[in-house]
Amino acid sequence: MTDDLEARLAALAERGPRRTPRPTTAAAPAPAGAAARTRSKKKGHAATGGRLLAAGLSTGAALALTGFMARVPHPAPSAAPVPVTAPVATAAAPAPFLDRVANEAATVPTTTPSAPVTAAPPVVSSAPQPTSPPPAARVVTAAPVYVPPATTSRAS
Amino acid sequence: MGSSARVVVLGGPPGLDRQAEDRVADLERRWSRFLPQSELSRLNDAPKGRPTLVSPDTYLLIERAVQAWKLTDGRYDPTVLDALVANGYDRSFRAFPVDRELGSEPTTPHPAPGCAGVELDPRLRSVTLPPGTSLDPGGIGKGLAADLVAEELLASGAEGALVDLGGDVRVAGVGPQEGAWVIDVEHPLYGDRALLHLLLNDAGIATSSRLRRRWHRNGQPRHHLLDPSTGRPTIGTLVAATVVAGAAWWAEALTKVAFVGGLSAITGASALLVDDDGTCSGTDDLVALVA
Repeated sequence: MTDDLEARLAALAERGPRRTPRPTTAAAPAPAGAAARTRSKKKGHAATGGRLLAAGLSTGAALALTGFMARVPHPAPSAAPVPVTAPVATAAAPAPFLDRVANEAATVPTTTPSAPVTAAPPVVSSAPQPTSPPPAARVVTAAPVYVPPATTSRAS
Repeated sequence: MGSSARVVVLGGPPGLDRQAEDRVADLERRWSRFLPQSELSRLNDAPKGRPTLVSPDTYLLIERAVQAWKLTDGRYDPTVLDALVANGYDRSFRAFPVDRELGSEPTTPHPAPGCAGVELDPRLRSVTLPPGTSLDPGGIGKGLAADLVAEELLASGAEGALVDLGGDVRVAGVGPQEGAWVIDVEHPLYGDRALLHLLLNDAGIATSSRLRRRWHRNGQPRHHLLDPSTGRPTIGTLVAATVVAGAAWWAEALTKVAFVGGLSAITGASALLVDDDGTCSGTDDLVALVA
């Protein structure tokens, strides 16, 4: 019910620097999507080198090969990732985090019986939606004159 | 929310009144456009065209606002913020000059852009505003806050709850008068007497008036009820509209619709409209109850 947005943002922001491999990246953060791609590439190179060594190639050959691969330029980030409310990158968030966000979104409480909270499509656009207004009030009648009101609806 | 609040709780464990007070304050911090750090302000200040993560409450608010825009064919429009500011409503009304005169007009109001380009992603719980679009849900915020607080009080064990946020009222559960709640509607022209004396059960009620929140620009009168198609204050003889519906947020949205589209634009709710000469019109159930 209450918002955990700040906690989510703080947790994600905290998680980011720990996974950033180089201090220079932490000093001048790259876009989150770019960081994610860089990490995956470097892990791939390391694994390739390890397999080559295990296969019995000479150390020199293995180093030469992995060195060549390390010079292969990584693709530049194409799409600018996103988040704006806070320095969090939903594109770089690990799967468990996204799952948690999705689960929390599914538990958004409804306040009006007919409000189609769960029926909303993933993205609202200009296309008309099959939405309907909330029902009318169940009872609208005159109150006994001798009963004082609980409150008064005043113009705002 | 720039107004007073009143909460009545029947039954339930102790402390529910404090819970309601804290919750209203929490929603105020999230939704006020006059607080720079509110979620609404951060959303409006964020780069356009990129998604902004928001809390469940704020997501619900914007979802309701977009829903109301669709259901009313744009007569209620939460994208009037720029037009409001251009008309001079750029600060809390309590910060207006005493004489309500704002001097020359800095910019010309434009029609509201509408919600067609507003994107909501329920999975990430994000909102994306297109360029040129800023949101001011307006009274829907008070109405939805009243709905939320009332429902949460019932969920916490209250037998009945009344939440009145600046005149936007939600009653839920068992009321003190034969199970229902007695609610008055203030007469917009004669504030010392009630226009309606209603018995309601699980309902939302809201009243909007162009006699409130008024000011001047170069001597020209302005008020806060804008026609989204022009970006300027509505004109006509209508001075106040009261709507009774199943939820306060929807009742609030329909009061705005009354000023733009008249009674014929209101469906699925009870409504009472008052003209500047005191003439009342509306749905039969409420017209029959006018005091």
